[in-house]
Amino acid sequence: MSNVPPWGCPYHGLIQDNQLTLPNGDTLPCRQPNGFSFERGHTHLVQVPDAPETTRTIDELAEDTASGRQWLDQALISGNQIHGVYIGNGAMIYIAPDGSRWLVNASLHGSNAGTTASTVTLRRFGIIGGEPEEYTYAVPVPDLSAESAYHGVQPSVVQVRMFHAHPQGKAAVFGLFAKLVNYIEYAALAWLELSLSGPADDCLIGIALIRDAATTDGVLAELDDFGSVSQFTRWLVADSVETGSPASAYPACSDSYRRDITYSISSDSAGSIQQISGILTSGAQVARRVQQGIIIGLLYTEMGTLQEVTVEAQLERVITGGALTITSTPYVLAYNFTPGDGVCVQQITQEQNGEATVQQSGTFEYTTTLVVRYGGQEITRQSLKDITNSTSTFNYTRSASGEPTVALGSRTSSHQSIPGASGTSSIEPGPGWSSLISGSVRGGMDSRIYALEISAIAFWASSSNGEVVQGGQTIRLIRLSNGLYSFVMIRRAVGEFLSRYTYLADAGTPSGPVVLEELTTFSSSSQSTNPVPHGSYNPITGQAVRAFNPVCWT
Amino acid sequence: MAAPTERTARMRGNLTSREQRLTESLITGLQELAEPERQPPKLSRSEPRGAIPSGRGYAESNYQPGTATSTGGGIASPLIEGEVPPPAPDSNPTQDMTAEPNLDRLYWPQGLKSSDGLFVLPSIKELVMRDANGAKVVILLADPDPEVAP
Repeated sequence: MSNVPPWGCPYHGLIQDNQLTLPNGDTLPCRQPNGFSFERGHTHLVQVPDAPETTRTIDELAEDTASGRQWLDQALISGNQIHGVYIGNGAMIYIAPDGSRWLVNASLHGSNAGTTASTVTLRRFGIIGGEPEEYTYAVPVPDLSAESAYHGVQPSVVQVRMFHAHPQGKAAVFGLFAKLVNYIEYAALAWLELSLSGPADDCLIGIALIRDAATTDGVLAELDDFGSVSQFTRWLVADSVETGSPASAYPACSDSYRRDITYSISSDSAGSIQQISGILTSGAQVARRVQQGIIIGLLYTEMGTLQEVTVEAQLERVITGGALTITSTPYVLAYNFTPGDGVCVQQITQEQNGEATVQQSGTFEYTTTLVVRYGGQEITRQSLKDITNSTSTFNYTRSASGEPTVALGSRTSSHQSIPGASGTSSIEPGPGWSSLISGSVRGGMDSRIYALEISAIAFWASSSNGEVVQGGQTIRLIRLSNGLYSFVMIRRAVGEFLSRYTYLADAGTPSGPVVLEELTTFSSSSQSTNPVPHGSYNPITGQAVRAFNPVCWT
Repeated sequence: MAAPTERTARMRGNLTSREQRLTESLITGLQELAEPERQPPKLSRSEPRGAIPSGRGYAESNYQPGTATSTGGGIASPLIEGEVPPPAPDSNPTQDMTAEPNLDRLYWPQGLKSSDGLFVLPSIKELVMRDANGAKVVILLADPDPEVAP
């Protein structure tokens, strides 16, 4: 480079509230990128291969620093703008083989899964003066109907959006996004790639499906049987034990004897009073389910290599049942014989009520871990563990009249969520409830993973049928922008109307783990009112930021 | 201190007749200079006339063409771009175009790139002009962003 001073746009930093904050703290008015929530922080590195080398003297550097200027040999497309100037949605800069630069706009961005062709326009970029050259191509789009059908959504509701661009604009990844049930943002169903090669006036352009819906959904590895818990069935039986002799043994018609009815647990239903269910006590029952390779992003490296951002959801359930115990009081009858009118009269009186209490304690540990990887390397993770220590009791009572029998059940549990809180709960399902610990097994946890919501759910307590939720906690992964992935913990405690949304500090970027400022808000269950934060990652500096207002690096 | 007339008389006594004549002449000249200052004529007071009205300014140049007729004789200003004037427009074929510039330049292929390489300022390599005598003048400019040899 000669001694010609550098020129261009030396103003780089974070755009927030339509202000660009420079490294020296000064601010400049700047357009805020717009688009879908997660697109407002999108960044695409632009690396022109023959960008000049900028050399600055010590004095010049000091002057640059003081004035907040940075002469970079790279640039960022910030959402739908570059250097604060709007360039259209789904736009990138293509560096042709001869070094010329072209602004590429593809109508694929903003289309739906029913589209069959995309218009791709190349317009000369960066030349000062004159009307730029322009070339337009019609590029066929592969049939995407199967991708939307995979998740049971209509092609018309699937949004095709540009997700990331190659540093020289040789390609761009487009995601097929749709809002699925309970998904906090648009989920990616499948991925397309737009590729360009050759000169602008004879450009070879293609659109290919590079990750179909099945691939994007990952691979389920069910290591153990997650769907069932081994349980036992036992019966409460009564045994009569007579002491003394029968009436025929009392010719004098005097004296008395007693009859004791005792209660026990039997594996034989003969003579049973009540069926009882519980979980097996032979050690811990471990169930694991792992869903690997759920593709939530596709990004180009600085060298132009495509890398996947994936999530691995690990679910583990460990149930440990204690020994089944019974404590009982025999039901006692007294028989008295007195002479009557030529007969011997037998009177039966109750000496003692009968009662049986069957009890089992158990521990339930649910651990869900979400691991985010970029190019196979872990960049962040979050775990949610829910531990429940529960004691269930089954009561059987034989009343004084000797006629009705009453069965009552109850369960007392203590819960601990990590991270989160702890609490206690108790349930009294009422007469006829005969299931012990097995009632605590929560069925929702293992099914949610399929919904691409990618959430771990831990309930503090639920009834035997899982309908009554007394408090809950969820962790979800949030794609804040194409380069920033973080988690939100949603918690609603018993009696609270609003849910607490805690956007956790740990997050991941292509550069690795980052720690963000934790954000908290409260919201009703209506997702439309949830304040979803925005985030942006700077591939040049590695910086990442998250805020409730849109942010984007430039 | 003696009066000026006494000092003049003493001086005269010490001089020759020629010197005295010269001295007299000088004294006469000095006395004329030392006479009371004349009062300058007074200017009459003028009434305010307001601001100067706007108008187009102009200047007349006393330009004299150079004498050079070919190279080696210097360049006659002004220089006008283009070795030859541009053709007269079709609408006025007789229009005198001799003083009109005619784009006549070559650019360095790479231009001057912005620091990020995205934008290019055109960089002139060769600029052809003609001087006031119609002589060709070629200006060669350096490449501001030369290729670095591998």
